[in-house]
Amino acid sequence: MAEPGGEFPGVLEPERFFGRIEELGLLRRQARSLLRGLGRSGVLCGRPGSGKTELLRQWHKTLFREGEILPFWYPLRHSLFEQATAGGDLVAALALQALAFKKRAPGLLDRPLHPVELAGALRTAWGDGGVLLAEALAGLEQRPGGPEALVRAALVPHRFAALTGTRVLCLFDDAGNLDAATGEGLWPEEALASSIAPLLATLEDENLVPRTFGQASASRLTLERLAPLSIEAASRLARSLARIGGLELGELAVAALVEESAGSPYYLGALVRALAGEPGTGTLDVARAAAAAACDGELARYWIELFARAMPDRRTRAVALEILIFCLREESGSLDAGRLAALMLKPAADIESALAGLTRAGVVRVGFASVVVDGDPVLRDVVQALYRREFGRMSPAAVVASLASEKVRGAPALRRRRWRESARVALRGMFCAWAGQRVPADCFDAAAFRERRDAAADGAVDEMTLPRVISVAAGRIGEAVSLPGLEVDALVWALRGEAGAPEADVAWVVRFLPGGSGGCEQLAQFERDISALQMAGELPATRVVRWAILESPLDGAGELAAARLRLSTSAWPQLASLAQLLGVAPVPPPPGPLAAAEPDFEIELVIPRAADVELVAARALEQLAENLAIDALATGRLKMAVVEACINAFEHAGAADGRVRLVFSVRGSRLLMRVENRGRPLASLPPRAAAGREARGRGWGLTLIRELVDEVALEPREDGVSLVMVKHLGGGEHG
Amino acid sequence: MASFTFTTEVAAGRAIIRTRGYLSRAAGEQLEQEIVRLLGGGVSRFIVNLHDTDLINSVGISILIGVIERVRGQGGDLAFSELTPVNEEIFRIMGLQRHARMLRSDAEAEA
Repeated sequence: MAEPGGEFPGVLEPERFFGRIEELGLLRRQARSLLRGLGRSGVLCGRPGSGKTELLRQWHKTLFREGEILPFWYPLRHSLFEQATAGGDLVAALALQALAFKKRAPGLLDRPLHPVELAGALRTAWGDGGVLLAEALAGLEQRPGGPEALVRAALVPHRFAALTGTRVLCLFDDAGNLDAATGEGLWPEEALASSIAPLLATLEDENLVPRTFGQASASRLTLERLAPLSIEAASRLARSLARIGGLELGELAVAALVEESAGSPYYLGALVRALAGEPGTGTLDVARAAAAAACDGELARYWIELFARAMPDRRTRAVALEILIFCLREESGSLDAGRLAALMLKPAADIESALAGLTRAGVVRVGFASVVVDGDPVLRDVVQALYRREFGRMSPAAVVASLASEKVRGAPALRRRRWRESARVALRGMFCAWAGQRVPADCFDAAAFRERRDAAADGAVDEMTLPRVISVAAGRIGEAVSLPGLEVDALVWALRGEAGAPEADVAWVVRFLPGGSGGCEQLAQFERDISALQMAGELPATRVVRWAILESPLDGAGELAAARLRLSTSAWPQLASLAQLLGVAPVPPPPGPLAAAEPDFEIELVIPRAADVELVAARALEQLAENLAIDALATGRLKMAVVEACINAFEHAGAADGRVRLVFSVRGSRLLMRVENRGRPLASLPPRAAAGREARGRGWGLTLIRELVDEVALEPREDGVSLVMVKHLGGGEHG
Repeated sequence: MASFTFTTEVAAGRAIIRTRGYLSRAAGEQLEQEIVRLLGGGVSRFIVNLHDTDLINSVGISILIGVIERVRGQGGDLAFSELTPVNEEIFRIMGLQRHARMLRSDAEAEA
């Protein structure tokens, strides 16, 4: 590993520092002070992509290697989702890292130890310090979660440092992920004042320092700003790194790389490594710019060679590429194994072979029930090019996936996902303003609120005191707890106290529910999910408030169900009222169904006459339906209708090539599926099928289509006929 | 283009055929051949498990109707199990439930 301070590395190696001479000097000065017992906590600020995390990570590795200061690395973004065990998690991380540091064995960091084994090893390695860590860990495991546990955990590094005489530097990444209450819990003033175990945290915006650490504590922190490299410096660095990697970059490629890196030397290094043929980092734009600069061939060659080594069999490579295409369509880069199998329509043995090959290539991880593509965003952009390059054509699946994902950007499902993310942020802001506020109790009872509003009553309203919020998390907590897939929109730990009684911690679990006709089932599912979390010990058996935020009002049955399940419910007007009372920004309302003003979009597909080729059309439609949030049953019916329309079109096609053109488009609240062939037109549509009529031979196609879609019409053209099918997207039929 | 496969399990004079993939004309013909082969071997009761077949076209169904008639003509019985909701709907529209039972599971055949 290179010595810190060198401007550029001798070889392309991810462990080496790239640039950042000034920042490195600051870190060195902090370390020297710490070794003299004069350490001071600080914050490293810089905008996203400026390289804060990478700098911290490299600094961690350097300190670990030097062996004088124990670097305690704790990425806070993960702890967001596991507040219930945050205290225990933090101490567990410290214990493992302390052991690895003492034994000079970084490999231990990747190998979770059994608690008994860990405790024993800690005692042997650290003596009294090890006993302290083991006992703290055991204590937190017995009484996990809650604000007290967090504060107890936060002080452990300082107690450990004092007891062992070891200097500890707490390297906590992404402090901006935490709200003030949690920040203050993690870094009480006495911790920030520690000169033997100070903190170095990263934060995107220096204005967030008081909010994150508390006004009083913030004054104790030094502030370092991580500026992006200048364009000139970044260009110079890109060329230098490329030359080391055996590449000569053109001006266009350099400019693209510099722009993409946003002045982060680390990101820039990763991009160049990717171009030089190492798994690195990149994006679509860079891949395109690189292709323009004739670098694409290098990239593609690397991946083809990698796949060829891991999967000598060509058929396996083809399946592997299709797996990647499907997984990379997902924002998370992961796909449920069952769904992957359903999408692929390939023999299970082929899929298994390809997954084994991809695993060998280090591209995917195969979990118990999911397939996760690891790391490289460049892969997202080059994988279809690879398919074309090696197999001379795009796979049907690739055609479908790319068409669907390219054409329906901005479609309702995507808009809804984006809305949900922004709503969670606003919700978090609301929780931060809760402490001690008194609000009408019916803010959490949709039925009562509706009755009060309907009666236009001005009389006395029952009030409640909102609890003091300790921590707020949002997102898929299921990824962090033992029940994957459970989605909640917020998990809040708070302190609730009755008059004259001590405060007790309470968990608020929040989920946005679409409501409508499915309201009852969604409420029941919410209740089941919470119960499952309680059964698994992820939430306490009592002291849990389940709060369903309803995107559309419940009907009478829904209100009864909510009361029976003892769920707190709020419709959007309540939420807006609550925000107004608290003086915070309102949570944005959910996007409605497709509005007439929504820009239309369409997918066009031309398929040749070939056995079972109609399946390509069905899969394309399936992708589109998914983006339109059409439910599975309705999607299945539409696929069947399109398959039948294709078969009919091929039967009646007169052109020599027998090609059929399909256009799927959204016009306002209607999904149109047009299937065109060139050939003789059909005379008319048959009547709807009589129930129970027996089927013999052919001729059922159009009858079935009429049963499966909302409208159907034949439009004769000069050279053929178009069959137009319509699905109404409004009402409860979709989503 | 599409990949259709099936497995056959024969026990106590009954065959369970589990399909996977798109049931089109070609797939229907493959199934027909398999059932005819089994009929010739003395098997008279069949369950076609369609759990892993999410899409069936009308040509494939037409072939299945012919198969049902053939099995019944030889005194046998054919049932379908684990249909997706859409496939079940299509089967009902085309009247298959009059000649073949729709089972929720293979075990239901014993009932």
